Amino acid sequence: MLKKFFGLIFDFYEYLLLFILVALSFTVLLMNEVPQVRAIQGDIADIFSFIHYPNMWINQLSNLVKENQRLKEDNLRLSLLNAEMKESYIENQRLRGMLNFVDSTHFDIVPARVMNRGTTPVFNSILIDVGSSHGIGPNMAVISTEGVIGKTVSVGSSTTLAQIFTDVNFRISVKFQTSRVLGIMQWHFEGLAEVREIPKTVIIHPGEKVITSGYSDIYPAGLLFGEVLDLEPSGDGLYQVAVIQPYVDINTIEEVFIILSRKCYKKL
Amino acid sequence: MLQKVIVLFCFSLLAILVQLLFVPWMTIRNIRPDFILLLVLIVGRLKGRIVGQLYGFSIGLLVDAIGMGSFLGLSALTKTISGFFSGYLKNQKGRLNLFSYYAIAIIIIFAHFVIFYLVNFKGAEFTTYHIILRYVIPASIYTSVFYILIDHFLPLGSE
Repeated sequence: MLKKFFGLIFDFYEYLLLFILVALSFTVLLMNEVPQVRAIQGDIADIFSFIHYPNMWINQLSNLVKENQRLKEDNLRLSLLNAEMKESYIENQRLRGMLNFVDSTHFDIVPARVMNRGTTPVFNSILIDVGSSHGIGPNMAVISTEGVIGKTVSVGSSTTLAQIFTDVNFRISVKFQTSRVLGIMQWHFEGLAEVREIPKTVIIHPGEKVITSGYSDIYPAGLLFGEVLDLEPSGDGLYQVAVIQPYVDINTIEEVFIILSRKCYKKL
Repeated sequence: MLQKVIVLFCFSLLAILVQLLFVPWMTIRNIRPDFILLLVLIVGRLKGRIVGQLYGFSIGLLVDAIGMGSFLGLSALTKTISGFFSGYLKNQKGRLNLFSYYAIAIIIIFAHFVIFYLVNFKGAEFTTYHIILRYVIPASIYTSVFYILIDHFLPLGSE
């Protein structure tokens, strides 16, 4: 009986191995959201981070001249803006003092470089060169100078995987800056995002800025996300859908910032 | 034996580097060839079903873990299946006619992308029809072209 059983296994060992490997893959796939699995993924990404260095070097070299020119322009623009903002800050402080407001908006941020944008065509994630040794943890907001990019997911000691807004499963609570309407933004496709189920009675104009609402433990209020490109009626005709053009171009992003402090968010 | 493992490891690193460095330049409307899949198919074709599926699982898991994939385990799943079925092509190049031989390889590539994209887009509100037409078929064609070129013109022996 036992001999027959082992004989059977020997006859079909290739298929048995296939079954085991497929079952293992499924198990790992179903454990994607388990924090321990994410932590292991972060550690392995750390070990093999050297694979991404040639990619970084080539990107850096090819973008050096372009970046230098852009930085010069940015420097000039920021110098002018800085002078203007100093004046606004003084005025703001004076008005805050008058209204007895407490200025509590201060974020601790960590700069990071993008090591890899992922090889899947949908760009679900980016790998950045900071990790738990820099104070990074899961579910921290990832931003750039242009606006929101995503959130940290798997954290290794020196690298971190971040889910970005082009991921089809990414959701973020947003607010239209002028009309003050709240909504949930999700990625649409072909470079655009959308906010659904906006009442038809609300008037939103194309060009209106979309910011984070602050009703989240991850994203502080008032971070820029994008602007309204168009408004379309929903399929059932009961609502309207706002098509959003994000400010951040994921394809060209090289540096990001991670907001460390989560306690001092000030909600709008 | 050890020498073969080292050679395979070097080729794996090379495929990952090619996928990272050059494939972004070859992307057409978000469609890109999968050179890691090509390597799995070639290993399966040369070494058979056992080595093909073991290699597919290992490199798939590595690709997922180092942040090149989307869902951890997805590449391992698709590449295990691809490695296994490409093992059926071992020593078949001279025996089967060329059309049947490459048709089998293309079906394996197509099946790989069907599973990959359907799982990848599980949260999206795309229809299966849209995913097949927009992503699976173009990616399969793009990868198949490279497979045929490599398999047909490079002197890959039976071992």
